[in-house]
Amino acid sequence: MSTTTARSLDELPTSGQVVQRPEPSPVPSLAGGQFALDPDAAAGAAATPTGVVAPRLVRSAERQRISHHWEGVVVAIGNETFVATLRSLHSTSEVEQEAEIPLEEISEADHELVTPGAVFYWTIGHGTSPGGTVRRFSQIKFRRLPTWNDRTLRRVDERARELFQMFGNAHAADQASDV
Amino acid sequence: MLQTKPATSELEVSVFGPGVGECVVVHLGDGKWMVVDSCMTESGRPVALEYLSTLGVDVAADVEAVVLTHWHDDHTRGASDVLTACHKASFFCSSALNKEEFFKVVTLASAVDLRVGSGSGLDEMGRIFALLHGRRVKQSGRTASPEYVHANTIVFQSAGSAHAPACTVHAVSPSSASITRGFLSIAPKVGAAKKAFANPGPNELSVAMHIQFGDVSALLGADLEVGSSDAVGWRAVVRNTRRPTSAATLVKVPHHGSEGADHPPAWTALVAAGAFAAVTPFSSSRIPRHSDLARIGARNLRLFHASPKPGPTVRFDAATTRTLGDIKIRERRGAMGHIRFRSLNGNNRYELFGAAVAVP
Repeated sequence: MSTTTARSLDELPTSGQVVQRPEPSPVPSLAGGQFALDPDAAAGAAATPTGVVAPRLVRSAERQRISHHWEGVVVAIGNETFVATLRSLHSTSEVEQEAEIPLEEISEADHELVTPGAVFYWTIGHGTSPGGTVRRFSQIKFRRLPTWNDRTLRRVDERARELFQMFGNAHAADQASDV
Repeated sequence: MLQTKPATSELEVSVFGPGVGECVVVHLGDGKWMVVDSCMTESGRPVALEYLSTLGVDVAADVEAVVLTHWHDDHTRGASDVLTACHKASFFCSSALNKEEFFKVVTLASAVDLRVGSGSGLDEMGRIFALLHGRRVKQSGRTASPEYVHANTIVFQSAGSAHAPACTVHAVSPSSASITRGFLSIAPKVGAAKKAFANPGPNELSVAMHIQFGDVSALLGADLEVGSSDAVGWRAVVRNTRRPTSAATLVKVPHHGSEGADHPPAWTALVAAGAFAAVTPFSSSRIPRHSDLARIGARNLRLFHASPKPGPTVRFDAATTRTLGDIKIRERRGAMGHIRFRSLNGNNRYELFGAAVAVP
């Protein structure tokens, strides 16, 4: 289960952002003899392949060239910096990287989003104005994922119960409680 | 020579660490093996499979146990491939996972989409459960559930033979109190923003093990930390009257040598003076620090570090370097180091391969 995708249009990003649509990954299902952890797939919902949101970088009439584009996940937060793992969105063959990034690199509006597990996109490149002025940029945009809703959490609970019935071992749990 | 197999009556504990990640391969005597946790080589293959292949071991027949001490990504990468290759092996994991709560965490993690990565080892756990489900379907009637492990569980036992001494692998954690407390409260509420699940804790739920091989003992510390009370972590291990009592002469230092995993009474009770000790790094948290190595090294031990150099700094073109300024981006994985302990007829020895070094 490498990459899972958002499952409905309401999980797509807000306007003004560029959506890239990767090839849909097959969503296995128990009914087909395979195995699904995906609560929506387990419930029979259609999986909608959606993709990652690149931050909007387009300025009118400026030609832009992106040199590097990473997906990051916040691992730890310090007073002035945070540590994140990075994976290149340009080349999936690149090994996982990590960086300690000053919080001052993050816009004030995104500061509240910098928490362990938060997902962001980091783009480095340069733009050339019609007059030939070259501007380098480094932009970190935290992804505003949709919130958990009651329906999804109910499905998660149902799926967890199914998996526990499949793989759990109540007898072992009893033994453990005797230690 | 790396490819020299241990003698049938020889204990081997091989500790692998590539900067982020950890794997321990143990020869249990008579050609039987155990793999504890998993990490990947630079070629993208689980290091346990690559090493055992180098030795000429038939992993399908001779690996008896695959143990995941816990579910963090630095201990699980490639574990499903290991389990797939090791057909005969039983799969062991922490009893903390024998809860509906754990499957909820796995399901929640699968509901958060990332494009190229994952925030934790939960995706690997998902692959393992899928594999076990497939085995269950194929071998109808035979359960393929994990073997759930907690303090005082026997993971492996052999009576010995004319060629090899008796061997027992005994879990010393997690304690029942840890299991009861379960995971840190990570269950989201309606209206909370989704985010990746970055290695949910606590580490007190991980499986530390004691190996008794004839007269020789080894201690595999997993990521077990001291514990917030006498009922959990190393504090509970020391107080457990049913744990093995022989002091280990080979130790995999717990939780990458961090201070939070260092419980002096545990060293006194469980580790012999002059023991060989191996530490693996976790570069994302910058552990072990110099102070950690100094603290551990101050004990009467021979300390070895699997991979002391952090992953290399990534080099960029001049424009990108100027844009990054003081920010350094490193490869998360460093060079693979391999510390091999072997014990035969009371003679303990070590060999270092790759990036591994002795800590002065």
